[in-house]
Amino acid sequence: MKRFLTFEKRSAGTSGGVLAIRIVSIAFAVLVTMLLLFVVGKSPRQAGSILYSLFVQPFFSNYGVTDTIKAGIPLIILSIGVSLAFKMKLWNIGAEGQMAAGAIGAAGVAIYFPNLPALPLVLLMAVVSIAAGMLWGAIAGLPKAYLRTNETITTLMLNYIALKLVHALVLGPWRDPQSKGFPMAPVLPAQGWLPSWGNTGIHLGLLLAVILVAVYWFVVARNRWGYEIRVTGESAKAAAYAGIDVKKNIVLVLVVSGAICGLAGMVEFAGRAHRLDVNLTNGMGFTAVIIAWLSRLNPWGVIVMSLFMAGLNNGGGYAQTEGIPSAIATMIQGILLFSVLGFDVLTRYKIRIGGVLIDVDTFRQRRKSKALSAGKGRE
Amino acid sequence: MPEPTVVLKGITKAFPGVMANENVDFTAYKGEIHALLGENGAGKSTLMNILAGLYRQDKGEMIIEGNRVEFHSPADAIKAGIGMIHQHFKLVENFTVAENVALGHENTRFFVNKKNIARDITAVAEANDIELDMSAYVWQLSVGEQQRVEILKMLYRNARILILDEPTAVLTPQESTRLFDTLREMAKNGCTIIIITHKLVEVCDVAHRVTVMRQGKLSGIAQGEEISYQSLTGMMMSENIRLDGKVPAGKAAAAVLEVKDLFVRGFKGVQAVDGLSFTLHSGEILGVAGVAGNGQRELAEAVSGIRGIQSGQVLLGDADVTCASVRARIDKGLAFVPEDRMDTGLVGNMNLADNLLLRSYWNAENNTVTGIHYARMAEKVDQAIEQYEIAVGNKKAPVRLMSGGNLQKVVLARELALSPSVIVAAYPVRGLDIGATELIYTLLLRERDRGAGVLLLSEDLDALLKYSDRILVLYRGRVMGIVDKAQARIGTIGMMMMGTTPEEVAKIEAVSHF
Ligand SMILES: Nc1ncnc2c1ncn2[C@@H]1O[C@H](COP(=O)(O)OP(=O)(O)OP(=O)(O)O)[C@@H](O)[C@H]1O
Ligand SMILES: [Mg+2]
Repeated sequence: MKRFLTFEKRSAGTSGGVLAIRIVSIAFAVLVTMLLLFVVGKSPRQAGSILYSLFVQPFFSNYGVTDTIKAGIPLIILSIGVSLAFKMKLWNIGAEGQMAAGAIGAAGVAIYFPNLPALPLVLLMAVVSIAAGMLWGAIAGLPKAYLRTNETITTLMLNYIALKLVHALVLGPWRDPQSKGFPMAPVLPAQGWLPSWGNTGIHLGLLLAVILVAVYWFVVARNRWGYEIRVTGESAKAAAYAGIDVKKNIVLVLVVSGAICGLAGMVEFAGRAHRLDVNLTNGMGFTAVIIAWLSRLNPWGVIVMSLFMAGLNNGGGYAQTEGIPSAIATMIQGILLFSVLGFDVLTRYKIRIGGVLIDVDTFRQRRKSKALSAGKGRE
Repeated sequence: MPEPTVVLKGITKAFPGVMANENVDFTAYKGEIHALLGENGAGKSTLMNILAGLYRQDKGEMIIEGNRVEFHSPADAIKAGIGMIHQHFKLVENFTVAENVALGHENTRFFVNKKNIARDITAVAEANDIELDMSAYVWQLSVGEQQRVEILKMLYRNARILILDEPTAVLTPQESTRLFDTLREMAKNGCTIIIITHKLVEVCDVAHRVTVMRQGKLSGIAQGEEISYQSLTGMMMSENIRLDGKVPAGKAAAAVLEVKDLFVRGFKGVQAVDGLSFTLHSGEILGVAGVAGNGQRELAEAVSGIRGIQSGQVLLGDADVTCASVRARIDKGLAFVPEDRMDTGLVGNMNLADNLLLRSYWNAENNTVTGIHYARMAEKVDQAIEQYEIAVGNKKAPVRLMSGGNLQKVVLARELALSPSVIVAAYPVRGLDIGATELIYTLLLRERDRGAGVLLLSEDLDALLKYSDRILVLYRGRVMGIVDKAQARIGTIGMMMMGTTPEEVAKIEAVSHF
């Protein structure tokens, strides 16, 4: 009996093909969203303005772009941290917790040294948040290297520990007396706020994020340590043959990855949130895992995908002001994400449904050969 | 003449930068063993991968058992009765033989009737004279047995056309003989067997017909009486190279590698190297003979520092490197050509520059203040390509796309670049064509004459006798004896490989002389 649906692994995807698939996937999501809006009884006019606020406003309006960049900053930093670990095939899905740990560190500095002048305060916050992220990375890295624990599980578990720690702190010792009972820590003294550009709210964290992207690119593509990471990620046997200390690198990579994510916690704290509460990390650490995956660990792809995810999230907010329930907004975001991730399969596999073969490269080749024969016809 | 089962017409396949197949015609008949020959990179694997549905041809048609076919996947090819066995087996280690054979078969569904399947499989095995313990786990099997599982798997899927890509490259001579017995039996039962190989002796021995490829094109067809060593090399090589000729002996000088009382554990804790001692001198090739699995791999890995040892001592020159790291040993002049080219010796997904760096990326000359000196590496890549005649389409492409011979040249280019004093070469010519084989041995001889000591592990006794200055026979992790080239004879070495001591060998020979 013939199987109706089969998946076959493709050879490496072409970058042109990947881009085409991303565009198709977004178009598909828009289509499904429209359908959904008609089903819930929106007029074409209303649907149009909802689609506008979902997909156009975050990326093409002044106000939307500013918001998207602000939300993108921590995502970029986190995704870089995650990508570094993924490059060595270390599945660090603990960015959320590492970010929370970093935010706790920064908030602690703000609470215990509120009178420090601007520069020392910011620097100390940065250092402590990095240290906290490193600690979170090391707790997963050391047992991975020496006891062969599974880092996917440990990093995941450490997320909950860090998040619960935030909870305990803002409910207990660090609760702001002026917060009228809300579980949140006091506002960061103004001199500790990262300087921002005009009144846009786009802060120094953007510069830091871009620098980190460049450094990541350099380390992975050009640097000796990056070379070790790449070789180890490709083949453990080759790494041993090259005399690479794999254990040391497991610890080091997870620690550095944690440090970057910890720094993201400080950037979000001092740049945008300005106070610690349970929503500071807001699932961004998990989003970063998706971004790293979709961007194929490519640094420039990380920037694009981070801004995309940030805008998508903001668009959901705008759409609510257009009078759709928040549940529908979330659903639409889900559709888009699902579509992007679903179509991503096409970059890795050929799919055959019944007798129809779906393969990006065949499409491309067909197009090419058509173009070729068309050219010949003209001659 | 029997009916043709496989007819390929005008097959063309281009990869970025290379024409792997150019207008190739190929015909194989029912009941024959058909050998496909050609230098490394000639396009043999590509042609067979097309036939097996792994690649799609750009142009050309395929006619199988009289029907025009188009394959979109290996599954289509299997349906048409074509099975291919690759060099890297695709078996599940923790499954039994029967489970592996049944796995992925289209009759194997959610509910499995183990008894029926086992009965069917056993019947297929018996019909083709394949001896296997159906309930053994794959990890318990030798390479030769695993190959038999692969063959059985294809037969169970009703393959009437069986393609084997360099099946004997990983087999011991005994296992090869067995394989050919099986293949002959299958051909007699009406299968079409196509084997790709570089070993001309085998071809002359088993093949009914031969197709030779050269640089992507068909270069000749021979059958029956026409199949001879000379005619085949003539068709294969771009120019006729001299294959005979004696190798001048080396001038052994000071010791460069000393191994004393070495004990090493192997896979699953077996005592792989069991109290081994020998000395390798500058200017000599010390061949290591032995039936596969007698500690060769563990010895090579222990000397190069990749595998930990239990006890013993390793000296490189005067330096005690027993506890030294891999890197320290490389820096002290130890080169290692590992057995497993693709996963250990090279990183398939990386490009040439990155692969040439693999064992010296920390060296000052390969680095600038900021990072790896890729500009210099680009020069080194060009140098290596020129000096070792590496055929490469795109220098920036992952090396896994290169053919076997070229891969080994890359490994040697890298390992010899540092002018090592000791070279451990484990099966360096596996899967290479005659030209590349000659080149590799020439390189090793040149290194020897430069003053390096070469430890050469090989399963090919003729080559060992030809190129080594002394031969160490390994048996169960111990030295059975070390024989000088002048005294070495195949029979003697063969007996020692089976565990006969040199003294006993001498006695036996004395008796048989009178
Ligand atoms: N997937 C691929 N992508 C790009 N180039 C390829 C690919 N596969 C093979 N080639 C190139 O095509 C040519 C023919 O390769 P092929 O593997 O068919 O040679 P071969 O005759 O099997 O050689 P060998 O004896 O070394 O195995 C080589 O130059 C090789 O580098
Ligand atoms: Mg091949």
